[in-house]
Amino acid sequence: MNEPAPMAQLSAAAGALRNWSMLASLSILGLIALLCLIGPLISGHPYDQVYRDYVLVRPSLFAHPDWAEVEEAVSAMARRMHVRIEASRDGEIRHMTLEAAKPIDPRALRAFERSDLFAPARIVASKDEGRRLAIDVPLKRTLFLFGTDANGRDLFTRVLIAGRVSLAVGLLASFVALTIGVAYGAVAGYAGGRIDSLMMRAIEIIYALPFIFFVIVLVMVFGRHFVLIFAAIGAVEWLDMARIVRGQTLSIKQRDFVAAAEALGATTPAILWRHVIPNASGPIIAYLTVLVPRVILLESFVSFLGLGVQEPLTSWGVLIADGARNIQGSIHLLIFPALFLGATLGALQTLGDGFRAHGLRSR
Amino acid sequence: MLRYFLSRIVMVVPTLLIIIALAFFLMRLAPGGPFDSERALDPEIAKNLRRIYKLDRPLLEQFWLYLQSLAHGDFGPSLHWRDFTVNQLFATALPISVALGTKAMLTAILAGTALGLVGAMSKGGIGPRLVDGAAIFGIVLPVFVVAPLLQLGFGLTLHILPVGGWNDGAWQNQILPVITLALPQIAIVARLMQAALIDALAMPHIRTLRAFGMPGFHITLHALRAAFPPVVSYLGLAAANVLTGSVIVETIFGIPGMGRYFVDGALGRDYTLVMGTVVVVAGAVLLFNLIVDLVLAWLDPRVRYESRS
Amino acid sequence: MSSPAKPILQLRDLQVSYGKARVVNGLNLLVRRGETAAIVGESGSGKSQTVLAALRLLPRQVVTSGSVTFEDTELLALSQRRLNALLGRRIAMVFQEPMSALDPLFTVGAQIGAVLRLKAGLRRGAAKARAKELLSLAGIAEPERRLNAYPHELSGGQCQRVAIAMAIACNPDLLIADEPTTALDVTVAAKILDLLAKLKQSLGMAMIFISHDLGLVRRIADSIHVMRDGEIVESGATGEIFSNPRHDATRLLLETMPRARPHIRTDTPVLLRAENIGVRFALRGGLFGARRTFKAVDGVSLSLDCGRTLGLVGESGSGKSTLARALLKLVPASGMISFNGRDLAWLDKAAMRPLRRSMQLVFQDPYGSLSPAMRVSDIVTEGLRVHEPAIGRQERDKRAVLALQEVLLDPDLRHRFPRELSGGQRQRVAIARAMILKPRLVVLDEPTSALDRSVQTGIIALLEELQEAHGLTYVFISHDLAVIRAVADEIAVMKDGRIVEQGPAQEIVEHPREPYTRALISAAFQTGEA
Repeated sequence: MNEPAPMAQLSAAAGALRNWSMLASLSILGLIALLCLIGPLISGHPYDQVYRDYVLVRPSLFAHPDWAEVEEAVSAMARRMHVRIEASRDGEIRHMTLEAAKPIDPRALRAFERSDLFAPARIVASKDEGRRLAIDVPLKRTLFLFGTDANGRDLFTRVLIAGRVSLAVGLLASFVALTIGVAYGAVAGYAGGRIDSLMMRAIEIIYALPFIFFVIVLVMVFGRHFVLIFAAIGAVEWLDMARIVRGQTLSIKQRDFVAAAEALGATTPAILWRHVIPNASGPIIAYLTVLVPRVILLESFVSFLGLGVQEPLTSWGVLIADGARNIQGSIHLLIFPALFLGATLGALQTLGDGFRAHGLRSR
Repeated sequence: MLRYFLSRIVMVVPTLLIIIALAFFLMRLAPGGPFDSERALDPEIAKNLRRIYKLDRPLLEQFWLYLQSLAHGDFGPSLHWRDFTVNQLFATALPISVALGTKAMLTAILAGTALGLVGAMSKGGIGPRLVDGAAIFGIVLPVFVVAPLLQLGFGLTLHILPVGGWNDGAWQNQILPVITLALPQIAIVARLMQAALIDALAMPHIRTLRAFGMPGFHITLHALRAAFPPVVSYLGLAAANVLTGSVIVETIFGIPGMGRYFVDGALGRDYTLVMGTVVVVAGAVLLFNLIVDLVLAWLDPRVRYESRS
Repeated sequence: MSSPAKPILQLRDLQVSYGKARVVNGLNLLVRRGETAAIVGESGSGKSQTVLAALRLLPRQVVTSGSVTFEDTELLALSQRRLNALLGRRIAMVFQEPMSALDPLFTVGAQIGAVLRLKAGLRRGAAKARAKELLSLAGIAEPERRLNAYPHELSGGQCQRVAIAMAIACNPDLLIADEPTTALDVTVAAKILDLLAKLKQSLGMAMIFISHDLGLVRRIADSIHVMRDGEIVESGATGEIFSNPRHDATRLLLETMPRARPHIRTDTPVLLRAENIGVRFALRGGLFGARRTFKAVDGVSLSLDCGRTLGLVGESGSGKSTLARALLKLVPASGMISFNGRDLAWLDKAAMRPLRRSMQLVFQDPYGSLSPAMRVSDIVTEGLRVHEPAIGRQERDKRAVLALQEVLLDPDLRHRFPRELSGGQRQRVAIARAMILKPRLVVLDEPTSALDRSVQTGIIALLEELQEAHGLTYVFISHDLAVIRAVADEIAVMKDGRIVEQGPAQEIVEHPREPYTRALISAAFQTGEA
């Protein structure tokens, strides 16, 4: 009777801000998910393709190779083929003149094909019994938006593929945790009494070991398979969900509308289905928004330590570990995956905060 | 209070026992053993090795033997670093991890509480939003991103602090790891403290104090007392998080602590080393939760009261 | 009052706004020295907001304008320092919820001591002696021992006494009491009211007493101010307000429960008989502590004839709600229950199910008894799903319309969710849910306690109409004897799990034998009409 409803009026402004930030978070998440889904298809690079000539290339908006790279590649080529090469610029096609003491074997020109910079060379003219070759070499244009890693793989594609893995692990492991947690929590909460306290005791015991240690022991036991990672993470992350569902079930069981349903003669499954689950769904959904980023983080954690996803498949944690190793000189290897991970975690966090605040208000 | 304390302690021992059993049997269920890595090991030698480390005995007997040696404070020989016992490895690693962990926790508690206080007390609602915003960063930037960035900034660019290594615990070597470990916890503690304090300031008994025209410091004091319990009860989880973080931090900064041994042990299927780490870590978490419970009971008379009735 | 005393507090054109919502709207009020002024209104009328705004206790974002003068000082323009010098010393306040108004983390002695040291300037030793004195002044036994108690170790009534002791610590000239008895049981409330009246007399304070219960303030107020929608709609001396109410809001507040219903002796068969009912709850023992049990209901016997109403009255914790659930076999109980000649004791859950449609339950809290996730139509027809699973969606909808019409609700409400309804509407929905099965026995567990007085009378009238129309038998539970007297043919008074007195309604009300019943009656009818 003392605290008035008008307080809700005051929080309207805060609510508008929250709605705005929730919308922004949702768009960021959607954008990242979309990029991860279709990005690798249109980036033009398989995630495991190695470009030996493009190791640790810096991120750039322009396609490679640039003039300096061509120069360097041509002089390297000349050294290897023991020829003198004169090259002139002409758009996408280089005209080159090769000179050597002995006649040049045209098969040596395959070196251009093997390079990541050039398309196959075509002989335009041959003079001095093959000692002077005039050739046309078209350039092979490749774009590395985020640069490449120490193995010469396109980071853009790899970040997006890693995103697929991280998001998939996040969703699947959360689903595992949701299933186990809801079932365990509902059973404990509904049974009550001794069974309930025993089941909760078990959770407390598992709680005494920090998750990461559990996951690592599990990964160590079951091996480092992709499927096992989310099973392992899901197997430890259900604890909180179980607690929440159990708490909800316990409190909903006490509510008068459940007693009313009992007085009407409704059966236990009907009460669970029509009353308990619909009224517990709010907190469950709110907790899911906390759970998903936590799982993504945990997967990155495990992968960072080399215990998770294995090469050439990758996840944000693996990429960040890679970036941390190459931090001197190639900071982009750390920045891009960290940016994607951070944006995802931040958006999920904001979304979760918004959900919970919303849930509190509507109650 | 004493009775409360005893009842809590009694719960710790069986919990620890069950964890040990769980980890022990889980690990032995795994296919493969600690000597798989050595290629083409002579079957005779492998057999001998298994006999020496008593891996050929029945599982239950192994467990019983392990418990017996644990009771004497003996974690057994390391299966990976075969010249050392786990106790010897821990003798050097544990003090390092403890030093890092306590400093990080203290930093988190002090800085987090101070930030939360400033945020909650600031007029006009900007403070809280600032703290919330900063806290998001603490949550969004995981330890393994912050650590290399700090290395790059303070070590490689500014050359103020060493990039890694322990150097017998020289303070320069401790700064970056401690900060890295503490940052996310500072963020969470600050947010919690701020929210708890804002809630506390709106509580009816604080309004009573205002209605009696009590001076500001008196009201703040009472609000702080009311705000502490939720923050203190988070500290148990914070300790677990710091332990988790220390695994990463020790790896990145090349610090020979417990976390490093744990990861190496897990990769090398070093049963005894991993078991030892699990026992120590679980023991530490349980101990810390015990302390948290006691502090909570000391802070809040209702907790003591409930445990009595 | 012979000559009008000097004004002590005067509010002029007070406005309080939460954002766009205005909760106090141009309010004027004058309180004189030594006078007791009561501000009375239904919940949400803005009466608490008025005094909180006057003492600047509302959150910072709330805008207060107008003028509040204490003697000759303008409170709204005062610096916080000078305001603090007045608060606690010259103006003191007592709040509604005594438990939460005290700091749970400090002992009672420490809290009173702090006021004495910081406001009265006493030293530690002197403060302790004075705190003890104040506690005994506030009627607390063994004050020495209570000084070291924490609020949770005291009852609600004791906490309110501590709060009052704190309020009178500096002999204030003005005491503001914001619904000080609403959260308390009626017998306790009566004693707190007496205490306040006595202290006011002996200390010569002025008092502002806020309440939603016009009857309650009659005994202590010199003048009454009736509030509605943030405005004072009627002011006057207490006698005048009661004898000649001018405004509708006042008349609505004055509207009391109808007189006792006529006592008719009819020979109808017994519908419900219970013998020696007992319900025990296990208390959680510690790890080593033995499990203890608590007898919520202890050896209760009663019998109820068809078409009649049994009023079950008692204070909170007396076991009346538990007894109600035990009668419907919703909690495990010992003893014998027979319904319509059938012994229920041996029936299990499945065997009880067909019987459930003839025995229904309506709860106190209409907010808690309707599932927030369901629409009204689904709530009302839930019983049909259980007992007539064959009927289709359309037929169910038709029945929902009929059921809502029967409880005088607009059938269009069936598409809404409970949170979109008012308290009174929700309670009608809960009644419709029970009635749709055409039960013979309905247990009403405090069906009106969560509602404002004006809504209460409507619900009671509805229940009596339904009883008339369908020949229903009621067990009506309430803590409020005035309500019970209006509806019951027979009354059973419960205390500590036992029935202490039982008999025809008129006899119980007019010639109570037990002292406990007498205390309840004097608390309920203290307005002087009994």
